[in-house]
Amino acid sequence: MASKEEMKKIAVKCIEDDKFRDDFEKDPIKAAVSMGITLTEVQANDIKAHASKVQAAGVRESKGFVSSIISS
Amino acid sequence: MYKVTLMFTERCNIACRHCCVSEHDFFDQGRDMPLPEVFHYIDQMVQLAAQHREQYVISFSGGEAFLRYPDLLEAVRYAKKNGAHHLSCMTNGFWGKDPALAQKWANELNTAGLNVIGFSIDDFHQQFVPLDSVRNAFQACRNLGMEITIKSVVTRKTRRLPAILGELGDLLLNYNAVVQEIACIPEGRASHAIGSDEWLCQKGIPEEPCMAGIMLVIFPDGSTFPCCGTGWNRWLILGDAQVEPIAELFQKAESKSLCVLLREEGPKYFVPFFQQAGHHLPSEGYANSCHLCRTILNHHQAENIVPQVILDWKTRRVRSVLGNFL
Repeated sequence: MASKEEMKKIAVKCIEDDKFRDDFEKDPIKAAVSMGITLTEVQANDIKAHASKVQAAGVRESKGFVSSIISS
Repeated sequence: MYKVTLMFTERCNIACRHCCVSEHDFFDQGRDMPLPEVFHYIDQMVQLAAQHREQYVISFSGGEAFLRYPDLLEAVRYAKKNGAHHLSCMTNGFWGKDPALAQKWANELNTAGLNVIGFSIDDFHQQFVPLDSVRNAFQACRNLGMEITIKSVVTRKTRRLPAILGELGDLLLNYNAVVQEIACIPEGRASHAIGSDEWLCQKGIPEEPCMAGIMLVIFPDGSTFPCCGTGWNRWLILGDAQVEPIAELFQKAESKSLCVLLREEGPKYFVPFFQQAGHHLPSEGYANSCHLCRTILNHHQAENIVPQVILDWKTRRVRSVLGNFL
């Protein structure tokens, strides 16, 4: 289980490294392991749920717009 | 679906007032994208699509891609042979001057694999290209059942799309075509050749989100951008496709903070930060979100403010995702 200090390290890495942030939101456990940090399933599921919520806000807005562009 | 637009050439046979590529700080060098490079990009798209079990599409643009007709034909043929799902090309239709030649070129391109063609038809282009030429080219493509798109760039002083479509007569009768009316924005030559009184601005800040990162646009020098919008500037450059693998450039388009911010929030996210710093953005309105994006990223204070905004956005986002554990 990742400690609060380890979560802070992950947060800093997410802010500094775009690719890591992207990877972490997709697969928190795998990305955390790359930093030598172990997340529990509960922690990972919570993170994924919040990441989905954040992403969904953008997707809701852009989906119709983007699909109209792609189809043209 | 992986989509890439190749700026096949920066050359053009006409000099439209509204052109966003001509007289651009970066791109108006008259360069062509060499055919071996085009093949190299296509090869990488094939690999990327196969790796992710996706399809890929290629658009050829410019400049005027038909100025390199033999190369265009080769490129289309190569992409089709290598499994491209969709192949499209934008043109001003100048090659329709001779109807027989227009049909020959359309036949060859369609046989090679080009299935979508886009015509730029508006007052700007028609200053240089007779509409009869465009009609002939359009008819040649229609005869083959190709998908056709029409893009019209408009200002307050040009005719609008309905009038332009009216001039096509029966060409659109019983035929499905995608038509798009695009407000001119001050990029490239348009930034000085078209006065702000001509822009079709709407009041307020554009709310619509941005599509940054859903495609790559590659210029002949390898500069790669995450959008076909006209806000091409250094903030949006993803890298150099001549030296970086296309897979990495797609990865950057997906994860680069600025691209994610623009996709999720749109350029409007930046506005309050500029206002709070005492830097007022133009108040006469914006043609669209690309216009706002360009205004922000080319602002004389962008160097100071944009990195702060991105940091603020990243911090908020990470707090939203990890908040329960911090």
